[in-house]
Amino acid sequence: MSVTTTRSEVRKPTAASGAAQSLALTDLVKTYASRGRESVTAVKGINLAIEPGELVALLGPSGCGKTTTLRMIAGLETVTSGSIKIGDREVSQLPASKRGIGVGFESYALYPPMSIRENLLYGLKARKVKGADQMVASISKRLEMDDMLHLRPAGLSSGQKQRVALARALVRNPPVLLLDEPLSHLDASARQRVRRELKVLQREFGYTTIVVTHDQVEALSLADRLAVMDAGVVQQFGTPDEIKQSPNNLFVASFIGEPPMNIFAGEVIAASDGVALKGFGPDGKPAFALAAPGLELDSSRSRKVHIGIRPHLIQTGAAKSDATGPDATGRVITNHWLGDQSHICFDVGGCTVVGVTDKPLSARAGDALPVSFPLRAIHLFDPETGDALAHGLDRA
Amino acid sequence: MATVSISDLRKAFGKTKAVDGISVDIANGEFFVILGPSGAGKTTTLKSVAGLIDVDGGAVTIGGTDVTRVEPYHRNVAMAFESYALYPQKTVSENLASPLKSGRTGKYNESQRTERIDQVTTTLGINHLLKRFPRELSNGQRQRVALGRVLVRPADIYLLDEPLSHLDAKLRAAMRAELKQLGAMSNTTTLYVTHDYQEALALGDRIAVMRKGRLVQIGTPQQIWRRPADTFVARALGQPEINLLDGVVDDGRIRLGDGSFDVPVPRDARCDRGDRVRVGLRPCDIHVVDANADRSAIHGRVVLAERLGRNVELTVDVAGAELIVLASGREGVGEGAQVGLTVADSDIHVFAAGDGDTPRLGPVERESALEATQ
Amino acid sequence: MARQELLPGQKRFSIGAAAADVGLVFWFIFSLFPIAWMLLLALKNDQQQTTTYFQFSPTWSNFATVVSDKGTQMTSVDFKASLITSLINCGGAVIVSLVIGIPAAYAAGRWRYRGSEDLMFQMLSFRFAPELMVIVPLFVIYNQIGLFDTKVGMIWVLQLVTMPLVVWILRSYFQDLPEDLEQAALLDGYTRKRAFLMVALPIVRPGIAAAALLAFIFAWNNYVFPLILADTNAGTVTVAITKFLGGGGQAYYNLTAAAAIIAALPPLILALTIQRYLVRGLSFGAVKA
Repeated sequence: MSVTTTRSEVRKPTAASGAAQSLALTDLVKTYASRGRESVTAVKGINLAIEPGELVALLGPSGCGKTTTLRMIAGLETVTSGSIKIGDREVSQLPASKRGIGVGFESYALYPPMSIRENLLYGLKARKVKGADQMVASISKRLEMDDMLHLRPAGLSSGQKQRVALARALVRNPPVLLLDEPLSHLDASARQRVRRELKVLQREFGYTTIVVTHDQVEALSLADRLAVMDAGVVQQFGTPDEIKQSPNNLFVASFIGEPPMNIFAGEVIAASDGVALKGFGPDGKPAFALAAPGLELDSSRSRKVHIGIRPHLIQTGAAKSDATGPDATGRVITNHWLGDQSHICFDVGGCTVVGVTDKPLSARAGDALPVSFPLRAIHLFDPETGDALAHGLDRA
Repeated sequence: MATVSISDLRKAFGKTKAVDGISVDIANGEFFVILGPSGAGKTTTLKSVAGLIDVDGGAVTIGGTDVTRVEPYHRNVAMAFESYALYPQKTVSENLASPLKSGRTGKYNESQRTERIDQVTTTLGINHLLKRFPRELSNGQRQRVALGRVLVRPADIYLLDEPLSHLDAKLRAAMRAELKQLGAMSNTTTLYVTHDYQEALALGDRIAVMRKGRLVQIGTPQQIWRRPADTFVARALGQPEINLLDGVVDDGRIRLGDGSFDVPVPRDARCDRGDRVRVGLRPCDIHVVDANADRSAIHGRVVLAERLGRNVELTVDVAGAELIVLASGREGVGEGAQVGLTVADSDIHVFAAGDGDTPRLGPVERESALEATQ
Repeated sequence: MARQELLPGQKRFSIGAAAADVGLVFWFIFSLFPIAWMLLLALKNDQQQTTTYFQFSPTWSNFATVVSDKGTQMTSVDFKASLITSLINCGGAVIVSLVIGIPAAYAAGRWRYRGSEDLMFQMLSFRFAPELMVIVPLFVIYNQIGLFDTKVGMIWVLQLVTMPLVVWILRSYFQDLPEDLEQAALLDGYTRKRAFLMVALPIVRPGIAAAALLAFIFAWNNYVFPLILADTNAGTVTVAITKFLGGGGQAYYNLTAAAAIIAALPPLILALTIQRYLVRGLSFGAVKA
């Protein structure tokens, strides 16, 4: 058993989460049309079913449509077609104020003449919520905002503004919470702590939450499930483990992971006990060969593939778990020691491979290093469509 | 190629002391990194070496010559700005030609200029962008043009101000490797400023950790990682941050948390029985073991497990204190589980007690005698 | 279709918005009415200028009369010459303001030196004071030093109008200009002067165009200074227009209107030609915001 939490174990609903709602996006499309220019389809048909109390991250490069999707859910953009359902209410035609969502956007208006504390209380007092003062005090303590409460919005740094936006959204105890890059302006140590606190708060109160981010680490640590997006389409929707271990296609495989997956052109050759893999260097010449016994593919003849190898699972130095010995010899190009890990870049028959190890490795540029690619590190993709064909972990 | 000596440099902006008396000697060809949070005074230091800022006190010496009062265009120094500072109304090739045309970096005729520009842009992979304007380039491309402007002309010193800070994580990691190779190739004394500790560890021959205008510690990457001079340096390196726990020394061990768990006093620590201290334990140095199998292990309960990249960050409650532990995920512990933790003696850091940043109780390796003036 | 994007739940048509639109149309008509009236007046002949509203027989002869010798006879002012004089005075004033004002704005925008804020405020205060307040002492002084009715004198006194505009507009452009660009030029090997000319000036070009245009328009429209401090030699077109009002005799409103329209043309043409230099954002992309 590992630490990974599967979908069924994800939610621990608490009493306070009775208000959490599910969120369903069906065939959501957003097209921007303006006179004189071509229309741009930012979001091309998104289907996501989010459980009550779940934290889903929308992850992707800039321009992939994640913020547009969030804004459509919030009611800040009209929906070109498709539906948005909160619970079983269709909300895509409702104005933002009537949808019952909490929005934590950084640029969301803070009333300048009021102190932060008054800003947080404002919405609650307007709706005559009981116990507003305690709620504000408790959120402020958990997000480490106590020293900011008396300040005015004008005097805040961007990191502080982000925390206030977050607090404002949380304090309303909304059934659905939308966050847009909530931690991006915080410095590293504050980010760590606020991230943890956010996760704890979200678990405790059970808000259904959508977080938009371009930071993988944030997405992978916060999310129960994440949707990796590119070019207006969801490339894969699943738990962090599913996405890391079984990426659907080349885009997801090369987007997730730091350093990202090594990808090479290659070929699968049918062999007696399964298949063998051949990797090619950038010049087309063969670079390395791997036996991959037990790895099955649908077609039994040779075919071209893209081979993906995860840096963290590459084994350097003397082969450890492979009784058959190392797969290749690499020549070290750079060896970066980063304190708790080392990133080693080496050349294997013309291919540049990046590997990560926990233990410091005393190898210098030019040294020869035996390298193994265990089966669990290997993923195969179709060179034309980019779709995944096989994941080594399935068979390891 | 030249050495750089900074001696008791001071610069204040109004009431704020941006640089408060720093001294360091940088060797010929060294890749020297200044690491610190924003506002520490790193950029001010760099610009003082470049001559772009009039210093209030102290001296800057380049290659043995005191240049403190010398104008920037006479110092033979090249700088890549954090904001890139590309001339907006000039194309990329005109931007790169600009230092060659000024006359102070050497005399070049048209064909020599073109040759140098071609060479540099090919190395940096921006050869196809020569006719573009800065506003048509992506951040990564602009950063390379800024770097190109530094490399295209001869210089005694390269000054790089957070060149990778506005790039996304992937590009940063890729450029880190490229920078290291470029650095090795050119052999020019380089001063590199960053707030990212991974860049510092990967690139620096020596690293100076800077805070509020002062140099807290100077040393090789290994030295500042293994023997941080104080809690500030210890916290600056490593993600997640080092765990800091208050404790009391008692009979060769230090009692932590509510007193029910303790760690041995490391051999080189200078503390006496009864002293209050702070103990630093890096999350990557704490290992999860089978609580039943290892009697000497510390016991705790997992409060939170976060999957991050290839590791799992466990928040473990140990006798009332919270420890963050980096586990590989294969130990099979979930939230609520009891775990056993061990840490090697040499990975235990002992600091003086107190709020704020406190110094290390023990020897600190410093690279040269002439450094951190407190 | 260039319709504005609606927010979800917003209705496309509402009574309130329609009523606001109607109100705006009325306000538009009200504001532009004087100009429209003046145009009509300029096309009316002497008999109809005071007797008709919208129905009349239009004639172009007024424009011809204004610039001809007949017009000069009527008013004892050569209208054509006054146009040229206006151009010289105002153009000269703007050029002087730019030559002195640009470096001044650069210094004030870049550095804080002792008294810089006071100096700036003092310069701004020139715009506060009503011209009539200072005109009498100026008249006396100008007579004494022999600058009465000279183009040099007019250019000098118009600095009270043009210099504050140039300095204040350009100061904010220079303040916004990132220091890094000039610093990069310094490290490339250029002196501060060359860095300024090569890097800073091109980027504030839109500011210079805007300031020059504004200064020209204000100088052109100035009435009090040419009225008191100038006569036939340095008289400007603003004063010349009013001569058609007869000074007690027959008032030729139609000629006055025609003269005013002709006088409005140079600033208008200048604005249209310079407008492409007012393009914003020349420094976008050079420096990471």
